[in-house]
Amino acid sequence: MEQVNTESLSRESSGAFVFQSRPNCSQTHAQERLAFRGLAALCLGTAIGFAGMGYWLVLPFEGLVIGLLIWARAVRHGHESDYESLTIEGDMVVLEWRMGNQSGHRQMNRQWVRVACDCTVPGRSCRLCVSSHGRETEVGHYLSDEARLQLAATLRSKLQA
Amino acid sequence: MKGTWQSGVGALALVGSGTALADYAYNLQTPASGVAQDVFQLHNLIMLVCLGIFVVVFTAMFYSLWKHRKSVGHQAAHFHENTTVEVIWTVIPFIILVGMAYPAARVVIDMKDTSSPDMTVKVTGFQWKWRYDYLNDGIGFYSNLSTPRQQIDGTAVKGEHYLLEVDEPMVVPVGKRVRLLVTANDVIHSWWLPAFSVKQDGIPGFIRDSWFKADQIGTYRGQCAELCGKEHGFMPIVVEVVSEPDYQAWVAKKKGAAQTAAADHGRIFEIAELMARGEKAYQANCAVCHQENGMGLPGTFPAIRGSRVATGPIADHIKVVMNGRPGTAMAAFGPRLSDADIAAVVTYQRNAWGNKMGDLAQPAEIAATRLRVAKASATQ
Amino acid sequence: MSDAAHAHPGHHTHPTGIMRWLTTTNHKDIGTMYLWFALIMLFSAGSMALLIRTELFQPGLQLVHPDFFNQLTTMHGLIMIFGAIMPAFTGFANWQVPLMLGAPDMAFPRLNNWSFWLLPAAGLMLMSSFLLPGGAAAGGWTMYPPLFIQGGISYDLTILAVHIMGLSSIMGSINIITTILNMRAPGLTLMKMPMFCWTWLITAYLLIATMPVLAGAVTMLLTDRNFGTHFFNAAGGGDPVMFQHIFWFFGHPEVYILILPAFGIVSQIIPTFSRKPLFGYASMVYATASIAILSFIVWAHHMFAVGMPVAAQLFFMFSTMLIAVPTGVKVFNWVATMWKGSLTFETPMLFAIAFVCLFTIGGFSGLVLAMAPVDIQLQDTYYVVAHFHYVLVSGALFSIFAGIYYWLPKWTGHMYDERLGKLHFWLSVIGMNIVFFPMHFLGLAGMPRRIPDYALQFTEFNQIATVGAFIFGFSQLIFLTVVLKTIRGGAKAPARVWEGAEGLEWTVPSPAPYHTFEVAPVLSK
Repeated sequence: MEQVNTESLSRESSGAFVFQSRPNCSQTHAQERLAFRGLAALCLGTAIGFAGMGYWLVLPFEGLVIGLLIWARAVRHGHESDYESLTIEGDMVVLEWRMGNQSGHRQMNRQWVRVACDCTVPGRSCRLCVSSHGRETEVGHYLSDEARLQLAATLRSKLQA
Repeated sequence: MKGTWQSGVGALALVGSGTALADYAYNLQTPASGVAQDVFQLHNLIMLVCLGIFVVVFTAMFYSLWKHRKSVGHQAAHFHENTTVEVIWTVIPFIILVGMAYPAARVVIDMKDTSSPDMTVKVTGFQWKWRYDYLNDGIGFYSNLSTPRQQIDGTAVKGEHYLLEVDEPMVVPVGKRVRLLVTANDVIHSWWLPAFSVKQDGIPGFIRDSWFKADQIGTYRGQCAELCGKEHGFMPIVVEVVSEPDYQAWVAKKKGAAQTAAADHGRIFEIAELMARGEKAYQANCAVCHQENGMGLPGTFPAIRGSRVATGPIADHIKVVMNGRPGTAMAAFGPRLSDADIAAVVTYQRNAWGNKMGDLAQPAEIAATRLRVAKASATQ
Repeated sequence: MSDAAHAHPGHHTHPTGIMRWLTTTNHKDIGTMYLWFALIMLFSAGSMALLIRTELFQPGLQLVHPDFFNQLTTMHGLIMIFGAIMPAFTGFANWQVPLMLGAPDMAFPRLNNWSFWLLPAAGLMLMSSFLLPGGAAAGGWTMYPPLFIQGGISYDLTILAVHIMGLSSIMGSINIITTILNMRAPGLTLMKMPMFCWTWLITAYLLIATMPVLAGAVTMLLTDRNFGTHFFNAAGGGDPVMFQHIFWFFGHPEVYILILPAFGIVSQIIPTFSRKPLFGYASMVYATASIAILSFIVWAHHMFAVGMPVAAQLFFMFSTMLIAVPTGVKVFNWVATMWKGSLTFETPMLFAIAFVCLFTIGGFSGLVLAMAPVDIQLQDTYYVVAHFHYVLVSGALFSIFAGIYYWLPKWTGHMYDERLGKLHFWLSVIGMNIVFFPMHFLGLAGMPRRIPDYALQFTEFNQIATVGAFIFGFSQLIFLTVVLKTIRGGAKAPARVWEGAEGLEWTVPSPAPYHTFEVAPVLSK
């Protein structure tokens, strides 16, 4: 199945298996800015219109919406450089990730790595984890469930190979 | 209970019999003015247009539902757009609408033209009654629902004009352009008379106008059309259209009644007389909220029976009745009732349903209170 | 990628019981909660409607006091609009938008959780206001002053509840807009999106444009009530009619907020069961957008009876008539989608067809009401009640039923009981018409709305309507049964539940994703 929801990438380079993925963003920066500014302008316009007629009590509420929009934009902005990657090379499995202002790195021994996928809670997304020495690390954040299942299968076969 | 059963059976049988069909009306009320006639025809016209579109759309749809079933082996075609067709069914409705716009606009303009009236009546909505002031003839009166409470509660047989009858109808001469100045005293009401196609909201603090010219002598009935609180369903409108001489006679009678009322002001009343008059005034003005037994409705409308106001100093009691309690549903009755009626209502409240104050108010005291209030506001 | 064991040991185990639902950020969980909340509210406000209809079964006052009657009509309206229809559509958006776009979740999952949990709080406030001294608010769902100024504490509580529900809608809308604009799968351009996403995108814009205005309007009511301001009090230089202008500036777009997602759902279902793509996709998108834009310039057609200048009356009449054009385009497109298709009539399709037929009837009565002079006669009568129930019951509510039957197999993994579904459909569609069709005649004959008692000539049609109301009301218990049965079990649903279904959501296993895993996870070394 095609990888529908992320710009993810898994390839073999010089014998290594690399899985990389980052959140999908179907808008360019300029389009995204325009969308948020358009909404804010809509609110500002109505606010000015009604306040001009003397019904100034719409102002705090339009302000609240504009505040929410700014917050939403900031959250999106903070996650712009999010990514995760998993590399299998020789005996090493390397995980790297960035999420907002947090980033991390983990190395594991291929022999000890287990892949677990938990889909037991109805109505919830699947959770795909790689674990080693009792420590679990979730992967495939930016994937849809079926892509996660597929990744789990791929990882299992790669780890065994 | 028997009534419930019978009407239940009636509804279930869907009343196919010819006699009962008399009550099934399928169109607007019979118009009784030129504007109402225009509106009636406009409605018929738009219904015809709708019917036309209905037939076209539904024929196409049900033909398709029948012929293009999978169960008869119809294979799906694969077209999914056709610019020509799409343009056609955007443009044709637009043309139909432009065609409708003209006759509709003509009636709007006619309805809104309140110029050169033969007479002007100011209509004021109150919770929950109407007041009519004839600006040309100098008469004014309230118009209350006259259906007895027993009919509403189901303890008496309902009359022919149940809920659509008043004590004092509005009376107008036939064939005269009557301009209405509609306003309200407390909340928004709406003066609606279907036969004349007049519906005008009465907005407190503002006056909006409308007009009608009744074509035929007769009695026409309507109701308040804007939710105005508890008794919204119980403030009907009755207009009696009479001949010009009858109208003049009615005006003369009304003026005479006003003089009798004025004569009451100087008189000293006996307590029995005040109690009888007070009971009538109480039923017309107070009972909707405070109830006939003076017990009010707990949590919504306070009781009068045994209340501090009705068993306290009489001067305070008079003040509450005359000035109301601002910010609540208790209206100021000073401007609404005559001195004699206020005196009577106060006396009645202090001596009815186990309230035994034994004191009474005289119209002269009310007049004096009015004077004091007027002076106080003048010095401010 | 987060290092679970590092920061929060045991974090990976899902919270269970009530905590699962309180803390969930999963779009499917939240969608489910929205839908259950909507269903509970539908039944509460529906029972109020049955009380109203029982009182109106015959002239005279039998069951309820006039003041309580007004409380029932007010709360029926508020709860149905803000508690049942809107949350149901938001529930659909939560479930379907990410699946249709191929996104893993909504853009702001935490915000999504908050926007849901505000709703039960508001719903509880509205319901509990019946217990306060003086009862619930009785000034009509439109909250017109000065009547709304008169009431007691429950009026303030109602205003607060409206604020909370408004905030919830705003947060939901920002989430939906961001999700649709930003999280579409590669290659899924805006003009390739399913219609449901388009209609919700436009709805979300309408919500953001109008909800703050409603919040402002009710806040001014609140300050007029409690802090002595005079925004809407003529004695203090205000204008009660301005409230109506501001309210309907919100209120008319709100009408489309309640119907556009319905258009979206129906536009998904009809092509599926016609086995043919949606006819005139582009014109559907443009029609939806034009309806949304026009909705901002027609508000005063709710106020023809307040007495506006001729020019205003004519302007609002013409702009209102204009809305018929894009609405007509949508209906014609649905019919053209069925034309030469290969039709089958499963329950979702039956509801969708009923939607097209009955919504069209609601559209016709809307056209009649658009004629200002005719509207003067029909404003605030049962004709208007009939009109907006044709649009909101056989429109919005039927589309919700259609959508539930259509996607429930996807969500639960089980097929619903087709026989019960069809029974529910036929009883609903017959009951609905028995309740609301006679109301047209009542309105024409001159029966005002919002009255607890009526003149004798209105008796027959009222009795018919009441009988219909009980048929319609109680047949919804069948719906509840079907839903519960489907959740608990039933025939297994395949990934592509419907033969003719197209779109990303149908490539996902049913339910997404629980049962598919039978083949997969053996833990590998």
